[in-house]
Amino acid sequence: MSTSTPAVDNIIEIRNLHKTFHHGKVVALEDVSLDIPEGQVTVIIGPSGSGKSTLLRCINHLEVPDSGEITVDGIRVDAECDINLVREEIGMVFQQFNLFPHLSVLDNVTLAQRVVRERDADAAEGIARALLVKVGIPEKADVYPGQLSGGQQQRVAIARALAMQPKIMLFDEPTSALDPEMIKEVLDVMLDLASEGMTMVAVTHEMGFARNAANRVIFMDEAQIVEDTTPELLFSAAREERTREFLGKILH
Amino acid sequence: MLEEQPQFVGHALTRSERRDWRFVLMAVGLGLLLLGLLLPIYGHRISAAVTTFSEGSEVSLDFPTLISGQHYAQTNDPVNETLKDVALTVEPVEDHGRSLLGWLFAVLGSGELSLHLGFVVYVMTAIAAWVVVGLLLLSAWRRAKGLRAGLIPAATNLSLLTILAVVLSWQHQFDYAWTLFQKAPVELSPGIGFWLMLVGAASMAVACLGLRDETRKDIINWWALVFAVGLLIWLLICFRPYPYYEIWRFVSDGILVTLRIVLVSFAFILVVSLLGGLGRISSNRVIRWLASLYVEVIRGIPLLVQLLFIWFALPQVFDGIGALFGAISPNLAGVEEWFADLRLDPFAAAVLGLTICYGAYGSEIFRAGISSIHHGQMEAARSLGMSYVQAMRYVILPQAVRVILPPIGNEFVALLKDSTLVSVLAVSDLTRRGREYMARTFLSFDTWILVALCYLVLKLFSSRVVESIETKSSFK
Repeated sequence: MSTSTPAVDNIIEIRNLHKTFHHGKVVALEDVSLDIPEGQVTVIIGPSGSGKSTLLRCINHLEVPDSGEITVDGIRVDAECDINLVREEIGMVFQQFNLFPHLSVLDNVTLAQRVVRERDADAAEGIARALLVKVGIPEKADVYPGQLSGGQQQRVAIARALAMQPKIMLFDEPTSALDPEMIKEVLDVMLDLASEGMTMVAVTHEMGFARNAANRVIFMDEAQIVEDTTPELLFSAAREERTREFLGKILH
Repeated sequence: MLEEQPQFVGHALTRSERRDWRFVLMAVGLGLLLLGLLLPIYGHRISAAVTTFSEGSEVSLDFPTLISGQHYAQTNDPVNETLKDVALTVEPVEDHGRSLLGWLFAVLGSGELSLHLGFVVYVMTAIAAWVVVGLLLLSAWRRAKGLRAGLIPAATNLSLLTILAVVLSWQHQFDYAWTLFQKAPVELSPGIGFWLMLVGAASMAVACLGLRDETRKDIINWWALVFAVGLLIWLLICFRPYPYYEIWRFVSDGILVTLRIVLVSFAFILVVSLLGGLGRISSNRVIRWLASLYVEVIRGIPLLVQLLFIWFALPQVFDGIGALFGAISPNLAGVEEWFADLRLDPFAAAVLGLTICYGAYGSEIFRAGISSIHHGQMEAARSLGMSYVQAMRYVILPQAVRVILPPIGNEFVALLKDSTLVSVLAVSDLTRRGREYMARTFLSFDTWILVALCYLVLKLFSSRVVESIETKSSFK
């Protein structure tokens, strides 16, 4: 893989990323390199502890890698860059939703718009209400997160991230904390987003989503990328033994 | 019978509900009280008094605004003499409205606030009752959620107290001395405003008591204890003016000093606690270490020792620093002098000592409060592009405040009590004034009982305030 000529259409470029935890005792990422072109929907799968969440969190610098390079939309992401500018362009959705419980749904979606994007209250509210329609819960604008179901909370979290009008969306196991009957409503929103051409990187084990929306599936194990393929090939003809073994465990 | 449901809570009131007798009575009471506040209440005042005693001693007092200290002069006979007579000068009042509000402004403008604090409290009680009952009535008429039931206990208590306050404000006119009233009963009789206020306050009280079923709270709540202790102090002062009135006059400026020290310190403590708490969880090792050192060291040294150090030893430290500059270069003699002249006044030393000590405890409270917010909140805020400061300001602190409030409120109450320690500096706070008075008169029991009651009422009052803030800010 070439490291010298960065392709213009790669919105995320990751080179030789290393990350350890607990003073080097636990290796989370070992020499991981990855290019993601604009508009691509990438799904990352792998057993727990394989480093997939860490990889995702390195992209917006929530985790600081030990070494290696990350470039997002042409900006080197490191200690010297203005990380807040980079993060404005990267929306992130968390497993535990992480909505702000002291703010109403509407304020959750408008807060960063007002504070970071410096939009005035009316403009922010307009965008927020449009996004709540898009994720299917316009009637919940004035309630507090604690009064919503998990699926509704996660959809608000997606609306909150989209309100910044990011170029990239990261999903960190967005459906893992949900009751089964609520998974579909969140996946529908994600499918919608994928069909609009959003660049998405999702850590998820929803194989239906991978099959229907992903352009690319990456299988990680033991801190490394084991297989980088398309959903069609993954299910019909996975190259690596470890991948087939993992798929055999999660598909029944 | 079925469990009684609140009648007016939780829905906008219908037209006929709004015309319920309790709301009508409340409105009438509000109107009468307002009218009473504005109409003449006392047309005459005692402007001077000459008190004569059996052996020819004479005490002559002039009262530029309101009478004050006369009761004490009458009761506190000179040695071997008894009260013979009091000659009053009673003047009609012309320069202000003769209404209670007019008197209030006259007192506030006179610069004798501390002498007539009681009078101001009476008028304020009436005004507070008017406002609170007014809000209650407004909520019944206008609010989509119906009656604001939480206001009912306050409205009831304040209405009842207003009846008392109106009567006491009249007695203030002759310094609570019936002998004086009997000298000019016609002039000193209360005017139309007095009676209107009494009827108004009574109507409001009856209306509020009629709403008892609307609230699950006790009508007479813990606020009553605050008022009870306050009243006890007041009764002691009024009816045993010797020695309590004298003690009160001597120590009351100490209450203001104590309050000033506590409030100013507390403002600084909040800032230091926030910085200390953030420092304790900082990712920067040096800052974290410094903050921890501060907290551990200060919490390990008794407050009294810290205060003594700041007051007695800090000047030497300043001199030492100055001498150091002087030793470095003769050109720095100016700096040396500046340090040699640097002395804290007692008030600043007290505030500094309390801030440093309580800031350390507060830092731990803030650290615990901020840490209790799940780290996902910070990650979510940062992932949206917010800076650390923005994330703290808009996401973490608003949530942490709910955790921090109860313990920090307790700190405030503890600070109030620990502020007695600053009396070892030359600060004339309540405790020091009490000590000074006792040293002069040897009235140890009376002095300390009054001082203790003053602290008690301050403590009870601030506890109640803290409590109500906590209730308001708790999670749904």
